[in-house]
Amino acid sequence: MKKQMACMGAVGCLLLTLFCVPWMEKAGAAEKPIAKGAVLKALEEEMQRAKQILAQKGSPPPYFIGYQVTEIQSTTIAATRGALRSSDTNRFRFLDVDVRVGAYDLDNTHQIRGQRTPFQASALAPPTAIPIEDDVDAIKSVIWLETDRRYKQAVENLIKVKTNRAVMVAEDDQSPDFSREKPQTALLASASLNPDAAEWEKKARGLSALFKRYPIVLDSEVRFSADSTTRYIVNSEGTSVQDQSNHARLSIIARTKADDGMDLFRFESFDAHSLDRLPDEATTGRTIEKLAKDLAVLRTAPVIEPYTGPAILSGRASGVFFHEIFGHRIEGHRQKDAEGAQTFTRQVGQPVLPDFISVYDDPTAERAAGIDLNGTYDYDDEGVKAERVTVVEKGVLKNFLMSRSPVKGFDKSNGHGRKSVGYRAVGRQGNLIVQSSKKVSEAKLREMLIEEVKRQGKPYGLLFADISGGFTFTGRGTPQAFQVTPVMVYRVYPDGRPDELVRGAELIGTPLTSFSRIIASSDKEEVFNGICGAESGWVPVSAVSPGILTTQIEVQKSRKASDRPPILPPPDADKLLNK
Amino acid sequence: MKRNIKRLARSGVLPALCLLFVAVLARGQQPDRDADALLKAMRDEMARSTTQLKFNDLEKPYFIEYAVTEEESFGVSAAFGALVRSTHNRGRALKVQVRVGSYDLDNGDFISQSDFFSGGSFPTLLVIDDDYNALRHDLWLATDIAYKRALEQLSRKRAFVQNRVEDDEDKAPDFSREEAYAFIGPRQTIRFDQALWEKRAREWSNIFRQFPDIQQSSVSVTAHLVHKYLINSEGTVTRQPSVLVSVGVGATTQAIDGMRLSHFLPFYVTDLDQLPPPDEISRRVRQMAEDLTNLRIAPLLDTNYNGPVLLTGQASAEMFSQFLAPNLSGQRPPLAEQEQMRAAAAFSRSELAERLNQRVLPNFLSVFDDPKEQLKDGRTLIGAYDVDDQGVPARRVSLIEQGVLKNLLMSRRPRKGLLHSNGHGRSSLFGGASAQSGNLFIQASNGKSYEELKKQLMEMCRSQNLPWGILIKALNESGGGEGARGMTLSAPFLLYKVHVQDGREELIRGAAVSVSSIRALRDIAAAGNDAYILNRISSEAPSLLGSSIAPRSIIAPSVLIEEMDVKRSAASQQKPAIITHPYFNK
Repeated sequence: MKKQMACMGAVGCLLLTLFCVPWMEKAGAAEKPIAKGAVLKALEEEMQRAKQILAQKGSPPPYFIGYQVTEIQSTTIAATRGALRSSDTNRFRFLDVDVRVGAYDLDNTHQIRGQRTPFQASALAPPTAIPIEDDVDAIKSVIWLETDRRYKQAVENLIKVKTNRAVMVAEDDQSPDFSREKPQTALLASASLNPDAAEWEKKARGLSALFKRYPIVLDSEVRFSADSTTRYIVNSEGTSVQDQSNHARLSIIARTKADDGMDLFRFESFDAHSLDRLPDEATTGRTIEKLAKDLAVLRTAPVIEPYTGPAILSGRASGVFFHEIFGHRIEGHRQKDAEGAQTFTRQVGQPVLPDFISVYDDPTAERAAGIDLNGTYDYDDEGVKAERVTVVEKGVLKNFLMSRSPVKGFDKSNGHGRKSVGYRAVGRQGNLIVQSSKKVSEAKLREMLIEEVKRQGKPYGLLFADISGGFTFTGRGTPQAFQVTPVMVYRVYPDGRPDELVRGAELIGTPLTSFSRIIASSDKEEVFNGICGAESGWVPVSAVSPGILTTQIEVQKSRKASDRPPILPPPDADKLLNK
Repeated sequence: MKRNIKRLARSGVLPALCLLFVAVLARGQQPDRDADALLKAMRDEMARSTTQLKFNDLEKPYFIEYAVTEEESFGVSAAFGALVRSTHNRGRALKVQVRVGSYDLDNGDFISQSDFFSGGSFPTLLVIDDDYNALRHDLWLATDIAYKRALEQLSRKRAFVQNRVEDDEDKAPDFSREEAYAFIGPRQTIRFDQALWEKRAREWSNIFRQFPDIQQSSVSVTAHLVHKYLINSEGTVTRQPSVLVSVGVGATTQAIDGMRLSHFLPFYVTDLDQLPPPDEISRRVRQMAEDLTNLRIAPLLDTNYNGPVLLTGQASAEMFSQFLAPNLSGQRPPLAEQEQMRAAAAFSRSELAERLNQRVLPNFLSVFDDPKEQLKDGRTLIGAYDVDDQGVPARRVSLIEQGVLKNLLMSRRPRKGLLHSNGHGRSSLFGGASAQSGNLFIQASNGKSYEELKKQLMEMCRSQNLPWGILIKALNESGGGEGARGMTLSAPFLLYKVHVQDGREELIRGAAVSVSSIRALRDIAAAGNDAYILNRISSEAPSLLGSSIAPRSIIAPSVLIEEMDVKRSAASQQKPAIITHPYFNK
């Protein structure tokens, strides 16, 4: 339930999800071929049996059955102010069963129009826990019943779909419901992360204790997680894939309040495909120090004034911006959703960004700017091989991120069908990479900002150093406004005064026009790693972008009301003062 | 708040609380309370808050309470001979209650748009290390938030109360005055041999490989060590250890016509050593699987029935748990700002609360609740406790004497005429405490044997010209408060037609059993000389956030009820499985 909560009611994404589940992810590098184990054997054999029995006795028989088992071994450790908050190690296996009746052209998953539950089509939940031991008979004893149940649901749904089609006018997009894809076989495994929990508990305690030096930090947490995920994907078309991915994450959150009650936070995370690629304690310690100091400055920083004018978004801020505002709109299934806003549906072949900007999504990329990418994988969650997709070339829209749900003009998956346990896959981002051919140094970009400030006759420009996630509403019922939260925003003055940090900024305006106003980029590529929540659950993603300069961004003061700072001083305040 | 749900969910506190609990070895240690960092942090921050916490010129708190539930839990589950999960979690959840105003009118028990917890508090996660400074820091922040929320609630509540016509119910104070109480139970530890219980869970779950008609089955074993800490600004300081161990076995099947049939067999004890021997549990699992298999082919109820029903053992205790126990609560519903919430608030209103000194059962039945009883006939009562969740010592309460309602179970929320708690304020993880039973004893003065009861059932049928009567030996567990207020019993598991001609017992499936009202309990014609001990971990007071955990026991004799309705169950008929079980179709 916790997973659905964050995206309820909105086709949205929290790129920066502070307290969301550390999730599975892909590290292609060290994978080695291995022998077929009990899970694949059980899935394949039950698949054959179900196909056979349902072909004889099913009315109508299914045309597709898909099984996925997700095995997660996870360790999560959280500490605050030198003490553990939690330390949990878990291992589980979940089974998702997708049964389709009808035909590739029209099946039970077809969207039922007029139904006010837009996520109905993607939900397979709840997932079914299966044995974590390699006992083929025990694993099979769960699969068959789940298949039977999903089959009956599918038959019922197909009747609804057909009825709905009969009473509604023809849809604009007559694409099939499911694409035909080449079966894939792969058996890959890499070493699990297996962190030493006691050692990481010690580290987490030690690092989190650093915040004790900063009385203005009200609440803070250092969180370590290590997940090794094995996926087993089997379908009735002949796909049989087993692979493994590792994701280690060290994240830090710190919160405070300004005297007027405004909630302020700083968050930083380090993501890696192996434990040894996480930063050392000294580096993490410096980050903690920086976050605490940022908060100290933010607390007393002036509150932002409404502003419309030029701004620089740092590479990371731009990455979040692109992921949220642009990335979600190029997800394939969204072009077909009868309730969605279909933002880019009719713009293929037309310019949607300045001509010096190209956008790719490349799940096969492992690193960028020396940083491990979260959105790396070899096969997507429908067992389709990951492809690098050129979404925008020199400003012109070329392609969408496709799952096996075709849209008009795009009848194949390009390996972007992604989901978390319990959901049906839809087109999602992996590693979104923004590239620019109009690159200048960061110093030059700053000069250009100041020129633009003067040209527009503004008192100052803005520099967004850090933006945290938010929601992108693409539903028709909501305005196409975006909500990402700028965390570190500076006023950049044309007269050479030092930059001034401001707080409480909220971005407003119309997302699509924001992009057309980019006039240059920096030559420094930055990575934002996050975990994105949308209608097919949480998936790890990355956004890679250079810093960008846009001539117009609209900002207002955040209107969120909140409580005043604590009435009493911290319990250990006396001790701190005596020191 | 969302953040807290996530944190809780992940910390294991939530799963641990929501799962069934199991086996533990617990032995006393260090009674020295000064060595307890958590207790010291709670006391010191309490002392500071009571003396110093005050926002500008607004009211100071008149009452503050810290309740910490510290848990260590182990869980193992298996299906069809293989392990599905094996877990070990630790967590500490803190609930801070701040009351502003006065005992007569305060911020509590008021559901407003901005606060659905009616004065209770949503738990926050405390650090699990015994780190005094970190603990105090957490307590400090939580107290501050609770105080500010209390101030806002009180101003909303005052506005609401002013604009509303007072009814009789409102004439009681909001919070009862109670004496301070000190109880420092020993810190306990828990030893759970994970490998051993994994092995047993595998073995028990493997029994289902002998039952081809069972479609799905699972076995879980959990052991749960809880230390409940509670201190308040009135001077109450308590630390209460408890252990709950459970083995739960669930299975489902389908009848030929597709009807889903399921049963859950629980064992609850308070020490690992008290569990029945493994072989005995195996036997019971086998018995349950056989019963379920037999039920598959049992005939459906052919005609609706209105007449006498004999409930024996588990079925009788379960019936009292569902029909009687919730109605013995004197909990006055909270006020609600909005119309929609009012209905939800009134949901927990007792059907009997207004009938003090009236007859509610036949004169041969008496009822009392005694949380201080640990054992009955040598068997564990899991509803036992020393102090309730509001720091009030547990007390034996005589509720119904020779059929006449004499008293109600009370928390610190007074009602007219019952101004004090009697140690039955029991809490859930979410929301505040409410009056609930601990160990509820239903006793008969002239109990009869099973044969006598059955004979009486047949005689009653004969006199009403009924060819058969109804006998219920087992009911499914009600789903955590669901239906507890309704007058329909949870689905019968073992229900029989008793043929008047020859006394033959014929197993029947697909029946739903109900009574027209609580008054049906006055018409209990006879009771047995037996005493079935039913242990339950579901709460009987459904909170707005769903069910909650409050271990309790109901001890009841078999009963013969004069009139019940037995109808064909309205449960939707499923289609039989098309795919066959792979193991049995090799």
